[in-house]
Amino acid sequence: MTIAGMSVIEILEGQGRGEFTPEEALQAHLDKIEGEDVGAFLRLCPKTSSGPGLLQGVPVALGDEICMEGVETTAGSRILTGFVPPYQAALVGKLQGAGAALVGKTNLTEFGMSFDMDDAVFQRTQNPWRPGTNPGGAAGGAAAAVAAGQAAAAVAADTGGDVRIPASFCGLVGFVPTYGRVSRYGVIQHAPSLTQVGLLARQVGDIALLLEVLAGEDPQDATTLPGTLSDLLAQAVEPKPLRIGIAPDIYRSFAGGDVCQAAANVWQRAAEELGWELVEVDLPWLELAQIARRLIAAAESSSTLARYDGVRYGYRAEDAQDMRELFSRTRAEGFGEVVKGEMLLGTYILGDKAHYEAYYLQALRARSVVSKSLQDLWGEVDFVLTPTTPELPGKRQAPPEIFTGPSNLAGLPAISLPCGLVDGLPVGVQLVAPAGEEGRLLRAAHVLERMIGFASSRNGGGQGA
Amino acid sequence: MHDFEAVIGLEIHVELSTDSKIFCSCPTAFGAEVNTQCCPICLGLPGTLPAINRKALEYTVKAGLALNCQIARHTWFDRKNYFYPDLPKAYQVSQQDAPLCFDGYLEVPVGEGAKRVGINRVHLEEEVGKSLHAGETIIDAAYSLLDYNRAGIPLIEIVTEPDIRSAEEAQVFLERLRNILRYIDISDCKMQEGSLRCDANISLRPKGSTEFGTKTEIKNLNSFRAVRRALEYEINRQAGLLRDGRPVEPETRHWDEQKGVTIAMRSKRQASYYRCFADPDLVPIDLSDEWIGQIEGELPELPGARRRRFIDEYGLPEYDAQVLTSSKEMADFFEEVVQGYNDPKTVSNWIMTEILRYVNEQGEEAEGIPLTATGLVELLQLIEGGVINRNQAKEIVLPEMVAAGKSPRQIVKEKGLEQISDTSQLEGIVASVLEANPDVVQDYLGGKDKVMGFLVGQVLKATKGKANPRLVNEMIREKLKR
Amino acid sequence: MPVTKEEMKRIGEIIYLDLTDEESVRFADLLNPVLEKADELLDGLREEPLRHISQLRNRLREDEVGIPLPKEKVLANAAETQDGCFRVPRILED
Ligand SMILES: [Zn+2]
Repeated sequence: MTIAGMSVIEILEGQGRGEFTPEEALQAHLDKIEGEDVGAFLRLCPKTSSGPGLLQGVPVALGDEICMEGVETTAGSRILTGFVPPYQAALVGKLQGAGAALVGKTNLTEFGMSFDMDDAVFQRTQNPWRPGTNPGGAAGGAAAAVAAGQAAAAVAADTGGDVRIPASFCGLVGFVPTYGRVSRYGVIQHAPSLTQVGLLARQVGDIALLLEVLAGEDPQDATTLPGTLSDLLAQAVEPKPLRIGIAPDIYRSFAGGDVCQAAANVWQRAAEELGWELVEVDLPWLELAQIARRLIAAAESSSTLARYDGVRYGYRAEDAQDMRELFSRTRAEGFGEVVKGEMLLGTYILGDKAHYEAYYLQALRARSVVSKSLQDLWGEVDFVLTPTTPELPGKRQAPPEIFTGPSNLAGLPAISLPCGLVDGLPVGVQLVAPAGEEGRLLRAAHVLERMIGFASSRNGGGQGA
Repeated sequence: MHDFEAVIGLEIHVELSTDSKIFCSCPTAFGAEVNTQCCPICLGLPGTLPAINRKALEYTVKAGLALNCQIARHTWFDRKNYFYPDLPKAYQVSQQDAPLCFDGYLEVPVGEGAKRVGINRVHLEEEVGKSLHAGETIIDAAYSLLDYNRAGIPLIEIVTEPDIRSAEEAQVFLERLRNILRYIDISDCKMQEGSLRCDANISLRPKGSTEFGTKTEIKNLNSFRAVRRALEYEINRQAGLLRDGRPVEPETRHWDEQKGVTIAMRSKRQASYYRCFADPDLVPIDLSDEWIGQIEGELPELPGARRRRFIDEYGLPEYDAQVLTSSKEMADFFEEVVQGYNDPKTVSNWIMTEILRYVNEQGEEAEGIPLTATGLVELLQLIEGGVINRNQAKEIVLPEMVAAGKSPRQIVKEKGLEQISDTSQLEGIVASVLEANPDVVQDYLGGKDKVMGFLVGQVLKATKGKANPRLVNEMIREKLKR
Repeated sequence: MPVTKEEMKRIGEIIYLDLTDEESVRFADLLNPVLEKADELLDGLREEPLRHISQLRNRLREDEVGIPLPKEKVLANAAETQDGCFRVPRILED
């Protein structure tokens, strides 16, 4: 087995058996980047393992929204061209502290504000499963990098499905923890109230390991949860059968095609083979959640991205005669279409008292509705299971984030597992858990992963057992 | 102005004297080299996040308590969005919907009595950076330079109700307010350094009316005098317009200190709607009764209470107590001196006449009392002990204490001011004075006590003021025993 | 009521995005269906607005001074500097 393409755990074990060194592991992944250009990386900054630790010698890719000191960081936007942070994301320090080798910065749609990877500003990223196709976004580069064996795992921001959507299309595990579990300090965001630091890897076990490294309170991020996480997969087996909330209605409402069928197969098998209890639940607010999430993201981005004005860093329009011209030309030239559209939407809905009340405040009320409804569900079920996406990328029948967005809206942990192939491309199934239940979620996902038996390697013959 | 009544509200911004900024650990010292007190957070670099300074929050609560406000039990921070190069994030973290303190008042003396000026709110926000303009004014500058040292210093905004009725009242209010904020030690309140700034809203209405007229907002008020002058000017300007039947434009006006006029500012930016919403990077603050009680416990005695105590405890007249408690520093100074020289009225007299003269010479922005309490105690003891006389103390020793910071004893020694209290040294001088003034001696012997002053004066003159007058007096009486 | 071209332009000016006529139309066409859907779905909700997703409260730091960024680093990313400051062209507006 070649090193590039191994899971995090396989790399650790291989090193443990003395089969290869951290340097060789990194080099194998760099060779893969050289050999198979899927446009995953915006720039490389290969840093060999910084020492012993839980992730010693594991090559990890970072979304380009994650600041690394001394390395250009653009968050996929022209307006940050040339910006070299004099500081570092908290999570970068934790990865380095655990001995991970940081490979480079991966492509994303501008500030992660589109789930369609074709909207990316700097370069096209291919889905390694089928070159020429879109890997999904916003963290398409991170997913493509791991799927192509150019990194064993990746870390990227998830504001509505950015990590889980491309994970599903690239045959990977994509995960977001509870809001506040991993510090957002140094992660360039557009909508902070929705942003969870997401993880991408080949296996649930890898995710657990990464999460144990990254989780924990950070005085620099007021929203981080106290406490740390450890031995996530080693804890006791569930005392009774898991209760899985399934929502048959959504398969009728949103496409119901093969992508959704793949998810439906998972819960049917889970009932038969694992004895999990299926509980029919209603998610009548999916569309409400989708629009509320979009409005909140738009409003927050109109404010969060206002700082890009060409004065202190990043792109600056040339030869502006006065400040108004400097600001407006810098922003007109620096931002792309999608970002402009969402910032205009956000400005509109905050722009006067009537709009604020009709749209922004109502969106916050919708956020309450969705959060409370999910809260109520936890009395009846342990997890909610949905497809990760309603359809393959580029179909545009339904919003791609329709199933992933609610967990961001409510700040809940969620995981996408590859569950089959549709038209030769992987698709995913998503489990959403109550806040703070990452451990139970990962253990259930671990069981489900074994049941599904999806071979994460493209050469492994696609859908396994 | 007889026919109109002014309706004035003030908006005061005060920089808090915390060691570090509101959301980062950068220092807050005034006057540092440009852009040397900045970090990724206060520069608003992407991905950085704010962390609230506990002291800034508690200082704001202190201000609220001292201004008789209600304290919010649940509060949060909003983003106030607008573009300006001195605002690094293009939003100011502030409090729009849930101010930390609200519904308070400050009592100010008006004429013989006192009135309450309502405090609408006291909220906490972040200071912006500074733009330095090349050129005479912002308009003709070819470019501007930005220094972000100030960006992120904690700032409180105090908004009064429109309860102020004259320019003088506005000035008195501000003096009282500054006094209180200094008392509770949350800001140095230096207008010339910008750590206390004031904007004023003013409208006129016919006397007896309860409706509000159209108001203007006056900015660039850099001293108490400017506040008063600008408001006086604006009252006259608005009254003139109204008398002529012309409308007052609702606008922002800039006070021009040199010309002594207010000028309408160009306001190309439309009505400032700041698109406020709760800052998602900060979690809300819940204030328990216990926490508020603890902060309240840290408050010093406020001026009103101290004034009453000075009257009761030291037996001072109302006027003395008022003057001495008009600043915390002065009141502290008084009490410290009394500790060492237990004659409150004498101490009060010295402070109110001599010391205050030096303080007032420094003008409105007094840097404080120019000598130590121990210095004054020593000076008073020297007088009491007859080493120097009152005049020498006032005319020679005190100025030197202020100018050179030396101790009174040292000055007395250096200047050779010790009174001659040794009878053997004075014997001869007294004798020659009596000899030289036989007529006066006769008058004295004839019962004219008044002439004693003349004789003592002659002795003092002969000793260049060094003779102990009480001793000289006794010696002459002894010699001329009737 | 749909967003007009003129309104779109005005919105753009608030956040310093000057829009051409063509862009104003395009963005208005983008926003209108979203707002329409929002009108339809959000109308009538009465729940308390969820202002903060985090359940945490009172996360405060102590008033301790740290080491600021060296001045060269403060200015390192700026396009134009002068005398240790960030330089911008003249400011015409108040
Ligand atoms: Zn700072």
